[in-house]
Parts: sequence; structure tokens; C-alpha cells
Amino acid sequence: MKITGYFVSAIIMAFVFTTLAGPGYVLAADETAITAEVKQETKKFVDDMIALAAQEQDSSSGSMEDKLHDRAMKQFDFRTFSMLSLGKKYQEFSKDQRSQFEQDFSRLIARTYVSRIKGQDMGQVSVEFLAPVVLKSRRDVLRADVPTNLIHDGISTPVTYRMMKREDPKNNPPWKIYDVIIEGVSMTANYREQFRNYISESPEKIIADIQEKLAR
Amino acid sequence: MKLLSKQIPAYSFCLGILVLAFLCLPLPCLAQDQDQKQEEYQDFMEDLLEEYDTQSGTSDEISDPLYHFNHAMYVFNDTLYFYGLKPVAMTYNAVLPQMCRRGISHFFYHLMFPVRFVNQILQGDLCQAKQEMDIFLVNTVAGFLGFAQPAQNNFGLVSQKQDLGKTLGRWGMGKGCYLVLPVLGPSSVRDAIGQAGDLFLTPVHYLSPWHVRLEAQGLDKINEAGFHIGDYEALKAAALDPYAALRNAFYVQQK
Repeated sequence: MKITGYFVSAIIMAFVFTTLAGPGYVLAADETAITAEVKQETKKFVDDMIALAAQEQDSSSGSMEDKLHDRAMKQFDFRTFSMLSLGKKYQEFSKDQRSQFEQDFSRLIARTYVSRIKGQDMGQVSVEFLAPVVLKSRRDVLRADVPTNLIHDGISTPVTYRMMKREDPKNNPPWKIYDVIIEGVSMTANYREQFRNYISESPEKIIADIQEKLAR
Repeated sequence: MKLLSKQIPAYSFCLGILVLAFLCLPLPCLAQDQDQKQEEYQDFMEDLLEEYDTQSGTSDEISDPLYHFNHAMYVFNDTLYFYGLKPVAMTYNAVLPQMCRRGISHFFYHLMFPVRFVNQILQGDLCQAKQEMDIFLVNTVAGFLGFAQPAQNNFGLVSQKQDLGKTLGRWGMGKGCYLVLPVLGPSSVRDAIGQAGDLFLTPVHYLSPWHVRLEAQGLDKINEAGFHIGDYEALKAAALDPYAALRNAFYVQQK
């Protein structure tokens, strides 16, 4: 009788411990899975971009820009990127203005980077991937930083991709880039600083200024 | 029977109402769902923005009371870059092969050893200071006076840039307001003081006569610029306000 009692309580204790300790184990396992997944997806994205840039080296800047822009848009959550770049100003944009802004703003960034890498020997470019860091989830959205070193002409530039997991209705990869941190400088925070000067300007003026830069 | 036939229209009416009600139900639900999603997204964004604000480098702490002076200096430096430094650096790049330029870059980095070493000690980072000393010795002997970096490349030692500005920061001195120096570029009051102090530990500064010193400093500057042609142009092309973009980048990197 006593033995059965011990046995039962042991089972109960085991059950209690596994349920208590369970989430901890799952979390640790989750984190490894998340870092592996996010690293793999970022690697695929970066490899694709470098391959596209190498392949498009001989075609026109316009065509190169289109190809790189399209590939990047599949991986970027550009809505979040835009919103973080504009900060509070984003609230003043209407739905149409938001999409217009996203379209022109993404073009501006793509054009700048294409003009930077056009004519460069892509074979000399390599990317080193460091261990991703899982960030604190916000409102149940998984997030992670993927630090990399972009090595070109023997110079190493730290570039970190800040990502979050969002299911994509168009079946694109779920991990989305929503900020890029180059040498410690966050792109969205840097733009937010610039848009501070537009505090009293209308959304139309911001869009017009970007379009003017694009037309140049 | 008669009763039932009378009741049928009533039943079907009730049924019809029910069906309609069911059909209508999801519509407001969907709209509400959309609103809720929108609101959740908004909250999420606010969380993210708040997160950036708690990290340093956001503009609240950037004070720029010398804006007009700084902006004038920014325009001056910008002109100097496009009409002076850049064409010279491009010609220089065309003449000297990359290997030589890299060697020169390493040599100037090697020369700055006293600044790094002393500031690491001042910051109490004795381990790094020892490592810095090892790097200096190895590169002096095996790296042809620092033109090559075997300590970093073959022994995996890591050198860490340090200056008096950072030391003062470590000691609790605030950055002070933003300051754009002519030729030298973005800085802060603390950094400018640091740079002046570091001069005492900079070997190039003790070169004489004065024109040799200037030539050495010029060579360092041009050689360095040669590696970064296109970076500043890209930053300017992507920025809506290049002045603010540079200021933010400087502040974030000077943590």
C-alpha cells in the first residue's frame, strides 16, 4: 500500500516537473530552431541578391534595378520599414499616399544601392554570417537580428538584418526584413531623423521630394 | 393539417430571418476584425518605435545649437570632398596598386598604437591593452613595421580602436553638442577635446619641419579616402536631408 502511494506520488511529481520545466526546454529548442531558420533564409536572400547583381552587371542600370528591387521586395516588409522611417508622421498619410510613398521610397533606396554596386566585381564580394540573436517578441511576433560582415576589397562592413516572422499571403518567405543596420546605424532611425525636418510639411511634399530625387 | 399549412409560412419566415441574420453576422465581424488588426499593427509599431527610442542614438539626445555654423562647415567639407579630396584620391588610386595602398593604410594604423594603448589603460581594459601591445610587437617585427598585419591575419588577435573621446565618455562625460570641424568632419565637443588630447600621442604630429608633417597627414587622409570613394555619394543620394543623415550616423557610432 505504502509502495503504491510512493509510486503514485512519484508519477504525479514527475508529471508536475515535466509540465513546469517543459516550456523552458521547448523555448531553448525553439530558439535554436528560430536562429537556424532565420539564418538560412537571410543567407538565401543575400546569395540571391549577389547572384542577381553579378548576372545583371552587363545589362542596363534600369534592368538591374528592377530585378534587385523585385527580389528585395519579396523579403522586405516595406510597409513596416516605411512606417518606422516616417515615425509619427505616418499617421498623416492616407491609404493611397502610403502606397505611393512605399513605391517611391523603395525605388529611391534600390537606385542608390544599384548605382553603388554597378561596375563592381561581384566575385570579390563575400558575406560572413554570424550567429543570429533572437529579440524579445512583441505582441507575439517573433523577431531576430541576423548580423553579417560584408567583405569587399578586403574591407569588412558590419550589416545586420532585423527581421520578423509574418505569414505572407503571396507565399513569399515568412521572415521579413524590416530594418537594416549598417555599421551600427539603423536605416529607419536615420530616415526618421531626416523626416523630423518635415514635421510641418504635408505628405504630398514628402512624396514630391522623393519623386524629385528619383527624377534626377 | 390546416394548422400546419398556416404555420409553414410563419416557420419559413422565421427561418428566413435567421438565415439572413447569420448571413449578416460575419460582415460586421469581418469589419471589426480588420479594425482590430489595424489597431494591433499600430500598437506593434508603437512598441517598435519605443524600443528604438530607448536605444541611444535617437535624436532626442542630439543637441545641435551650433546648427548654422555646423551647416556651413558641412557645405565647406562637402565642396572640399568633391573638388579636392575625391579627384586627388581617384588619381592616387589609379597610380598606386591596391596592395601598396593597403600597406600604407596598415602603417598609419600601426603608428596610432600609443593612442589605442594609453586609452585602453585609461579605461581600465588591461587585457585589451596587453593584446594591443602584442599586436604592435608582432606587426613591427614580422609585419615590416606594420605594413602587414600578421598579428590579426595569422594569429587571430583583434585590435580595438580607442581614443580619448571614448575614454572621456567612459568616465561619464556627456557627448556635448554636435560640432562639424572644417576638414576633419563630424565631431562633438567631447570628441574635439579628445582629438586635441590624442595629438600628444600621435607620432605623425611630432614630425618636423611642419610641411613634412602636413604631407604625412595628407597622405594618410588621401589614402584612407581612396578606400571609401562612393560611400559618401551613396549616402547623399539616398538621403532626403544628408546633413541630418550624417549627424545621426555620427552620433550612433560614437556611443
